[in-house]
Formats: sequence, C-alpha cells, structure tokens
Amino acid sequence: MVFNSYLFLLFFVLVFGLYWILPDWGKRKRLLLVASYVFYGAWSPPYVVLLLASTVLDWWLARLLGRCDDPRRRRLLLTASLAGNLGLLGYFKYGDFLLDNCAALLSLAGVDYRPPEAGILLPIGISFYTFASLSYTIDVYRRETHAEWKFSDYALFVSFFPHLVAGPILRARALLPQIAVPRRPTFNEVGWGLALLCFGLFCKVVMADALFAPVVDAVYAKPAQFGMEDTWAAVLAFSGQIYFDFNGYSLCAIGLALCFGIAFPDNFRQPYAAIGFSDFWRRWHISLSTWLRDYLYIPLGGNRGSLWRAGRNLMLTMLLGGLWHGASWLFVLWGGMHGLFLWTERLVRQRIAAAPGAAGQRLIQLLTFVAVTLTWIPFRAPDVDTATQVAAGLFRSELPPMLDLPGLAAFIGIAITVGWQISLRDRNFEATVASWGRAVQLAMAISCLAAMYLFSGGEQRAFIYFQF
Amino acid sequence: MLAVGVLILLMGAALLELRLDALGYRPTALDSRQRWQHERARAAALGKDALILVGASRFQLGLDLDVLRRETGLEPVQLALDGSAGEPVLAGLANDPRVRGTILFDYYDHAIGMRGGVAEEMEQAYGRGVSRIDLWRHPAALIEGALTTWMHERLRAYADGADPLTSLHRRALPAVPARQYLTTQPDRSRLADYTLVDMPEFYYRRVARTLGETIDVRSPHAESDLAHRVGRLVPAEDTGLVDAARRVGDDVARIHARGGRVIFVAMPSSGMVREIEMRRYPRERFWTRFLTEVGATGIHAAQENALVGYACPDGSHLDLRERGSFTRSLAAILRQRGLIPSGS
Repeated sequence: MVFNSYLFLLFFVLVFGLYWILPDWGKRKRLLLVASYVFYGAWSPPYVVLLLASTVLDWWLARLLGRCDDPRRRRLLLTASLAGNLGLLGYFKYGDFLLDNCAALLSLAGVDYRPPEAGILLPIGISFYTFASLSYTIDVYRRETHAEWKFSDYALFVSFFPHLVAGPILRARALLPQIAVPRRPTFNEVGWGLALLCFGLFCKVVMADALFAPVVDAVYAKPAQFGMEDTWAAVLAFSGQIYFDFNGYSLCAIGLALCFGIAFPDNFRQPYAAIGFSDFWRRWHISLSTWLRDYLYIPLGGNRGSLWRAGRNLMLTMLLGGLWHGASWLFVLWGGMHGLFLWTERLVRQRIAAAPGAAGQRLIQLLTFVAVTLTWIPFRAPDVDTATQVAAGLFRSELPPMLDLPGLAAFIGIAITVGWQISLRDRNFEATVASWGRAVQLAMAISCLAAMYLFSGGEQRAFIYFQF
Repeated sequence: MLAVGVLILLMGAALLELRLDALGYRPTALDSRQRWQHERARAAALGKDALILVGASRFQLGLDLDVLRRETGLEPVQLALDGSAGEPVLAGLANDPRVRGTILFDYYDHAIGMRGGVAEEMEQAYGRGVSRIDLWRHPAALIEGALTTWMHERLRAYADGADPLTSLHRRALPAVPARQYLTTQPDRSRLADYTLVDMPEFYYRRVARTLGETIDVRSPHAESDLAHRVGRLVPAEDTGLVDAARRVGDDVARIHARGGRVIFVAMPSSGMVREIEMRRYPRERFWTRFLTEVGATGIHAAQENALVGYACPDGSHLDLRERGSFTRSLAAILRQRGLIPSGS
C-alpha cells in the first residue's frame, strides 16, 4: 500500500491507535513487527517469505560472525551473507536482464540463443531491505556493531514499514539501539512527524504528480512530436518530479517513524543547491550515497592511491550505483555520467585551488543543476531511442510549443524549487519551519492539506523509487 | 496546528459539497477499470446464465439492464466501453473457456476490424490475471480501488469523474447549475438526459464528430454546412471487411462450440448521423455481408418494425426515457426468435 492512499490512512490510524493503547514496549514492538509484515504482504503476500528468509539468514550469519574469531571462517560467513543477499537481488532484479544480454552477446558470436521467458516479478523494496540487511552483517564482520540483538528486534529493523519499500536505507547500528530501548514518542515528536507526513504527501500528490508528471509523461511518450520549449519543460519537470516524489516519500517515512518515536536520518538536503557533483551526492539520496561510500567505494580503495586509481574506484561505484536502480543499461549510463562528472570535478579541483566567490558559486550551482537535469534523461527514458529523441528535442527549434500552461507551470515550479533550495541551502527543514510564526505555520498546513484535497481523484501513481 | 488545519479542510470540503448540492450536482458512479474487470469476471463466472453486452456507448446508453434481466431471465453483464471497439473483448471472451453465455455485440460499421485501444488494454489486463487472483497477489491495490470508488461515488466533488479542483473552479465558484446529462450507474450503464444539453449545437457536434470533421456549431449555417458535407459522402472501402468478419467469425464459432451464442445488434441512429452511416456503409455491402461471413444472427434496429420508431436526440444515442421501452422491444425480438436459452 502506498502512503498516498485511503488504505494506508486506515492502516496507520489503526496501528498508531493500538500502539498508544498497548502498555509496554515489548508488545508495541510486536505490534509494529506484525504491522510491518502486513504492510509488506499487502503488496504481494508470497514475497513475505522472501523478506523473512533474508532476515533469518542475515541474523543467523551475523550471530555466527559475532561469536567467531577465526578470520577464514569469518570471511566465509560474510561471503555467505553477500552471496545470499546479492544472489536474491541478482535473481529477482537482474535475472531477465542477464539472460537477455547473454542472448545478445551470443548472437554477436553467431549463436542463436533465445532465453526462456522467465517472467520474474520484482519483489517490491528488495533493493532497499537487502542493502539494509547486508550493512548489518558487514558491520558485524568489521566489528562495528555487536550481533547479540534479539531476532524480533532485528526483524523489526529490517521490516519497519516506514522505510521498508523505498528507504531511507538504514544502518542496523543506527536503528537497532533505538528499537532495543523502550521509548514513547513525545507530543512534539508526533506533531512534527505528522507535519512531515503531511508535507511529504503534498510533495508527492501536488508537486510531483499534479504539477510535473503530466508534462514529463506527455513528452517522454512521444518525444519526436515536441519542440525545444516543451522538451526543456519536460526535462526540467522531471528534475522536479523525481525530487518531490522521492523526497516526499522520504519525508513521509521520517515522519511516520517519528510518530512511533524512531528517528530516521535525513535523505535529502537541498540537492539542487549543490555546488558541484560531490556536493550533490552529499545531498541527494544520502542514505544510498553513504552506503555506497562505506561499503563499496572505501573498500575498493576510495581516494587512496593515484588519481587514476581513485577515479576507477569512483566510476565503478557510480556504475554499480546506477545499476542498483534497475536492470537497464540506461541506469548504468546515468551512473557513468555521474561518475565522469565527479571524476572531472576532482581533476579540476586539484588544478584550481582557489575557492570561487559568491557569483562563481551561483554559476557552479546553476551548472551543476543543469548537468544533473540532463543526466535524468537516460534515467527517465524507457529506452535508448526515447532518450536520444528527448536529447535531440532540446535543440529542435522548428516545432512550436504545445504544452502551454502545464509547460509554463513546470518551468515556474522548477525555478521556485531551485531558488527555494538555494536560499535554504545550509538550513534544515525543521529549523526553517520553526522560524515561521504560528500564523504562517497554520497557513502552510491548510494550504498543503487543501491542495492535496483539490488535486485528489486523479490516477494514483506509485512512488517512483518503489520500482527500484 | 495540523489538527486545526485538518478541521478547516474538512469544513471547506463540507462547504464545497453543500454548494454543489445546492447547484444540483449529485454523486455518480465511476466507470473505473476495476469495475470493468469485476464485470468481466462475472461474465465468466455466470456461465450460461450470463447475458454479456459487448460494444461501445450505444449499448451503455441504450440498454436498460434491469429490463433485460426481467425480460430475458438472464443476468446482464455490461462490458461495453465508451469510445471503443468491441472486437478485442469478444476475442477475450472467445479465449475464455468459462464464457458460455449469450453475447449481444454492439455492431457499428466503422468499428469492424478495429483492434487495440482501451478495450484491448482491459481485456489484456484481465488476461494477465488481474482479477482472478488479485486478492492473493495484490490485495492492497484491490482494496484501495474499492475504497476509492466507495468514497468518490458518495461525494459530489467527484461527480462525473471530476476532481475537487475542477468542481470548485468550474462548478462551485462560477455557480454553474448542474447539467449532468450523463450519469453512470453502478452496473456500468449510463443514463443520458438530452433535455440538459444545448440543442441543436450538441447534435451538430455529434454529426461533425461522426463525419470526422470540425465545424463552428454556433454558426447559423451549421446545419446546411453539415448537410452539404453529408451529401457529398461516398461509400467507404470494404476491402478489409471480409478478413475482419472472418476473424470475428472464428471467435463466434469458438463461443458457439461450447454452447454460448453471439447476436449482433445494430442500435438505432437518427437524422444526419443515420444518413452518414447509410451513405458510408450501405447495409447490403457491410451489415449483410458481415453477418454472412461471420455466420451469426443479427438484429438491425432500422430493419425491425418494433425498433424503427426510436429517435436518438444526438443522432447516435438513446435518451434515458426511451431506453426502457427500446430494451423491452429488443428483448421481445430475442424471445420471439428463440435467441435466448430456453428455460431462462
């Protein structure tokens, strides 16, 4: 069930109500665990078994790891966890992709191989919960956390419904201590949690789905029919759509967790105000970028060694980060473009030591935003043809604009978004809201709720990151 | 603060409902994808007791399901889809061994041979098992669909498929009185009240649409302009008709082979719309040849004494006041010709 649904509203009211009625922490945790499995099962009940299997495997392997001192045996146990999680991910997420690419390679060699139609359905949230679970066994292996957590606590960490299907990708060492210690959220925490939920839904329903998505969908469906203005509107609109969609989801997740007294880390921090690409990745999907940094980039060698070696590590990390988003070469291309930009930025920084002035910073912010926006083209396009046509459309001046008001609204919407993010670059959302007077807070709350109501009733869209 | 916001929002929503009510708006059923899927599943589950209606808006507006139920003893299932061709749905029914009922197919000359579109999408979605094992595979989607439908069908802000923004902007604020000429019923039928539309502009618009042209319907010369265009029409090419009819015939044969029955019904049309149809699709070259190739029974409203007197206000569809009587007459013909299974 998606957060922007009546069913979720009922589910949340029921779980939240029971949570407050139950007297002790143990019972509340059991309630959250059952509710989380019901939440996941509501997508597709058979895949609950997969979630449970992954949880049992990692909890058991981590326990063995924690009690073992033999380095060879420890490596073996870690390998088993990696194989289990990545095998699961590989089969469900990349099975068809690998078979198709094998067939394409063999056909180049003149072998006619037609793989059977596997028809593997991707279990929702698998990329998120396998990464969360994997971080636990790796942390235990590195002795950065202990492995003596109760199974039910560990199962709740993996399955806790606010983050289960689209993150943020949580670390066991951040969440398990919170689950282990009894807690009851304060009135302020619940209030702020609900406010975040409400604002997250506003981002999703109004900004992503009503303002930006129609322009994006129209142009990406038939890119050859649109000229320069419309294509730019759509490309910029997708920057807005994906930000509001995913940040909206993250805000909902953070707010929901807070209603149960659990603190999640921020997942976005004004990414379109980034000054350069390394800054962008410190602000965009922070839980994934830090995961990749800690469990892939640094183990590969990080920025140690020569510039080329560090560049190789960076490219490898970004290519795999791209592939994490989905079984498509277009995601790999997207990751590769980001890797290339990051590498170039690093080279430039080594040669130009002086920090840019205020005007220079604005220019870099703008260039970073435009470059990030362009990288979204392969990310959004369903195939290479569409991506090529959209890219060509950015220079197609012979066709007049057709999207009129929606296109203009998308332009204005993204301009306000970028301006807003630049002005709040170094402040967090909570501090910003706290600085408003009560009347402004009330006006904002009413505006968000009213806009959600007014724009309700259209086609319900799932959050974009659910597919990853 | 948020609680106050929610309270104010609820009051605002209630005010909008009251305002719309005062303007005469009523909640309407939604002709949703899920509702169609539900009906499609019924068509299979009812077996020989089903009277399945396949086609487009002429069936949705022109047939009264309560009357059909009473007069035929069968359980009507409305699968007609506004603006679509019925062939993909018929093909899906032919492929479904559980479908053994009586099928009335809304014959419309220009739609013969047409595939794809919403009908194809619906049937493919059903074929992928959307409704058969949905509760097991996607319970959230199914329950959410039911909840949304339940909610929207009870609020005026969502009437006729509108959203609250449209209702506020186009109905409540400019105080536009309700002119809901088209109302969807929970059984997927639609009631058309043509006393609520601007005539003759509405009729001219329909004629122009049937012609596939656009004209200024407010022009004083609209009627003569349309008549002139209609007068120039020549018969359409019939090259694809035989192939299309044979494809339909294969589907019909499979349904007949397992005890089902397919009856083609050409619904009434009037005025210039009828003139267009007669000029473009001469009955002998299209309707008669089609039935011969398919090898099925047909009932043409223009050829049956009991059905010729019905006029379509927009040229193409029956008004809600005529549909009951028309359906009774059609059911009588079905009975007289023994086209309804005995004992029903």
